[in-house]
Amino acid sequence: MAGRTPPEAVNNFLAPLHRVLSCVTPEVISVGGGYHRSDRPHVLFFQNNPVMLGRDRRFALKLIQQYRIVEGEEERGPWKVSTVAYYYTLRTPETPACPSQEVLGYHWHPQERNTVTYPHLHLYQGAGALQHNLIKAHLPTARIAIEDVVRFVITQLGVVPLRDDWEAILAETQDAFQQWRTWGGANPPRP
Amino acid sequence: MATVPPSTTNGHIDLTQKEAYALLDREAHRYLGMSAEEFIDAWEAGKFDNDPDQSDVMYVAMLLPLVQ
Repeated sequence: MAGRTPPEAVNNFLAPLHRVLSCVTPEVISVGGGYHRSDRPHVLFFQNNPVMLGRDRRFALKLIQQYRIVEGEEERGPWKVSTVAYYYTLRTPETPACPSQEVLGYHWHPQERNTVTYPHLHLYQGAGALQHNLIKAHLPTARIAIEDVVRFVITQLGVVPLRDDWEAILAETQDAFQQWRTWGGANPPRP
Repeated sequence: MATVPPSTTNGHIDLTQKEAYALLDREAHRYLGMSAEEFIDAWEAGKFDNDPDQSDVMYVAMLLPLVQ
């Protein structure tokens, strides 16, 4: 999303994100002062990670995104927010009968200290019995938008959304995201 | 730590530097049993390099820009 100033670009980036997440949680995103250009990425996340999802509260989401403020190209500018890493991990909640378990995670963190620079999926113990070599595997994926995650938990895991207009919101914000993003697929630009 | 969004924003919360550090410290204790300072030292010394993508490690590591 673009803006006339860096702070406006950030606010234009955060607003649709807030709308998407409001479909499944009343929690709001926190930002650590990321309204200026910087060599280091900025961070947005839930302070109360993981946050319970939906009216049914059978799953919880840990969410972090890292982003940079960059100069946009022509109509994308003059300032634009570019996502440079994401961490979306689903967990089951803690109950008296069963401790919280991680189920799956969509991650992309090319700058961090590991050799896996492509978007990928993790399957964890909470997903059920796994082949031993899947526990640490990085299953390649295309770039995953937060809309993909929210739609997945509602349509595939049966999370009961908090608002009836969730489909329209996800379609609207994802259309805008796909218009503004600079890459898709499984081959992100090198950091 | 504030959990109510300021009314003048788009519904998000802005953390101060002090709050950001406190949050990193909290999460480092919660998931890895160490302070933020201990985690930063260990991370930069490469002590997690054998498995940096272990979920809790990567989660805390991705919060590092909050204090850098």
